[in-house]
Amino acid sequence: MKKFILIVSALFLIFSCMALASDSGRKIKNIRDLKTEKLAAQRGTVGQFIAEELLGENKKKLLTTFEKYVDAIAALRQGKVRAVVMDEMPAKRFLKDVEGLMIMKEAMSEENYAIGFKKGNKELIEQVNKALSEMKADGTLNKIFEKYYNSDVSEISPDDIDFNLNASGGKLVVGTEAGFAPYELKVGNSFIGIDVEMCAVIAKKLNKILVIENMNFDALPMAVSTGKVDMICAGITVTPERLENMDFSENYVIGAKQVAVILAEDFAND
Amino acid sequence: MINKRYGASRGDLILWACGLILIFLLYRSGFFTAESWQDFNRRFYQNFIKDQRYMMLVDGLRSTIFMTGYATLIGVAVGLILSVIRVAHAGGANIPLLNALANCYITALRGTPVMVQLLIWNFTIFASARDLNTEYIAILAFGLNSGAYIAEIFRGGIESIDRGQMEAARSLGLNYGSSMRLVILPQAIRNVIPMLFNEFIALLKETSVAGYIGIDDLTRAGQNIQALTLEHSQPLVMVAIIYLVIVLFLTHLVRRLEKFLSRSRRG
Amino acid sequence: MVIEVENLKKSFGNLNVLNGITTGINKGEKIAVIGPSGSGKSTFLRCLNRMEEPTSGIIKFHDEDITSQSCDINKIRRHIGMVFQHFYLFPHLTVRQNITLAPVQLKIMTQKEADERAKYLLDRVGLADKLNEWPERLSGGQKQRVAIARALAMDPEVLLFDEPTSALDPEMIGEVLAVMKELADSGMTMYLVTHEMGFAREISDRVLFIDHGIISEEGTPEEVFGNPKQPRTIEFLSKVLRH
Repeated sequence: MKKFILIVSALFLIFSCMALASDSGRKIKNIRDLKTEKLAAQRGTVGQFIAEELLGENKKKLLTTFEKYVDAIAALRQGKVRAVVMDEMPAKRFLKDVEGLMIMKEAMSEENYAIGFKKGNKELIEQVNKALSEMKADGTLNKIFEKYYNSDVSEISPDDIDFNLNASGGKLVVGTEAGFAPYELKVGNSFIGIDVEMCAVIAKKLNKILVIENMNFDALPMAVSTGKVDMICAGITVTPERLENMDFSENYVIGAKQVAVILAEDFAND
Repeated sequence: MINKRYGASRGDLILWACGLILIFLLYRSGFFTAESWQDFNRRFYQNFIKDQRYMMLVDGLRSTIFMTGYATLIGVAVGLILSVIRVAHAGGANIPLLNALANCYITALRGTPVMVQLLIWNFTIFASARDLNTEYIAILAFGLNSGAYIAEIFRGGIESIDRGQMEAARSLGLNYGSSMRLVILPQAIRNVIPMLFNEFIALLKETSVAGYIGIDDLTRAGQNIQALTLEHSQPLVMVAIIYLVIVLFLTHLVRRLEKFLSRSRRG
Repeated sequence: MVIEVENLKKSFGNLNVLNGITTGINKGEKIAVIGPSGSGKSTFLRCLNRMEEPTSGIIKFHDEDITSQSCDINKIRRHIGMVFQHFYLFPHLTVRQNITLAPVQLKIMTQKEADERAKYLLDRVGLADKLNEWPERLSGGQKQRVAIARALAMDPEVLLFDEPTSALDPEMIGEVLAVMKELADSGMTMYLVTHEMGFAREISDRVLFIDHGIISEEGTPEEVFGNPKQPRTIEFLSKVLRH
């Protein structure tokens, strides 16, 4: 019995020390300060690639990747990492809902989003590109963006989105990772988001039923290259590595920023 | 001896100690202030009540139980066939090829993580099967996997039946297959029912990796709520509680069943 | 001859249990097989319906060699009933189902006919009231009587008894022996491996004394029990009869 109490007390002491130790740390002034800090990113995203580049050879020691943004932000709030590298739009949403976070002013990179296809799927790429051009030209795309910029996601219902269920031209299966507001989000048993609404319009133009397959982000390239899904649309950045394994549509978002989210208290104000 | 006198076992003391430490930690983190209680309620509303978000958990639970149930059925069927092959081979039947296949199957599926098998089923074997509901692929993957475990359960069950039962059946002129089907298996299955339930419970927890191939099971439903509300702890803790309640309930059932079976066997 | 055995040998690995047995049984004959423990008498009996595979030798049932590959042993076994030391009733079936399982499965009778026969047989072994009982609720003696009824359900020509009373409490031996006596009197052909020397002497027409895997002495009960010739037989009988 004594032994047990001893062990418990010892464990308790160790945990307290660890909690204390994690409180101390350098203030962060700018992106360069992050080079020697523990970072987090969502697995398989551009945020991960940028963080790896920033950390250089320390990436094995300092970078933690998570399946979900929520997990990465939780790690940040618990002091397990000092910053999360992520897309600006979802970062802004976190800032609105979670106290004590801030976004570093300097963007870490700017990039373009496009829809990914199985390599060589020319016919579908052409159809989708044509649809995208039309949507850009007649303002449909802008309208979708404005809808999501001007309202909170909790105000938007999937019932207002037309998944074109009565189409006669078969299915358009789209892979996505529905944890990336405002681009895609699961609500109830359906989906909302910029990407989702955009794909709904594309499906309409192709006379196809829109089917959304919700999977982990790092499973998306696999799903599209094996033909599980026709295309993947999840705020995907065109990178040289990805171009080797799949083809992309024209960009539908230009200049999306990757930013670093840190705890406000860690920021050096001067 | 001391334990008996004071009515508290070492396990009880550990539980009390853990409980006290937990309460202390919660107290230190300001859990018992009115403010944090309101905050808790607000977040609870956000996570589960608003827009009927609890329905996401209900749907997830439905999917989890659906997958586990059918996977167990497949597992029992596959396990039964495999175990009979292995037992028949050990009993002198001339089926070396079948037995080798069964051995390979059991070794391969028990020797690799179910998560890896799930990914292979979905992204390699059924790569082009787009119109197939992903849940069916998961049922197949989990079912075939648990079949390998259930095969060993059945084999143990069959081998625990007295050899004389087989001899008595054969002495009446029944052939090996009929004796197995009518005399051995009914007894063996009855003996292993509690273990099959345990396998069901284990499988229920294992299906939590189904989210990886895009199935909104209970775990994934929790993650979907996380993404909606950006709240980290509550959805997952709720998911854990739901799993725990189901597992405790099933464990209770297994105990009752074990008691019932052993009583009726003794007469 | 119903069963003929020629030079039957059986070995388990290096252990030679039967070293060449030649014998046979006629219709209606009752043969008691006695001998010390480990002498091979049970193995001999179990070879007769190929519960054990003979290593060499010939066993004929109505002139058909049942050790040959072409013989359908399942068909033969329908005609050779067996009663085990430990009864081996099927615990998941009722007494009635125990008795009717094989005749119905082998399509020898309909379920209804088999049920009728089960009733008749149970009445014959004195257990008419146990028709729908579960085996676990029976005493050892009752179980063995049900096992005999189960063997009789197939209407066998020969019954093999493998130490049918050895696992019973002393007070239950009598009821099982009574059933066997009744069977013997009705003209059943029987092989009986037993330690019950008094009973063996009472019902058998012929006694085989098996020792070290061979029949070392054979004769009528009066000859073997009353006037044994071989020293091993004399020694064995003096040991068992003293008790």
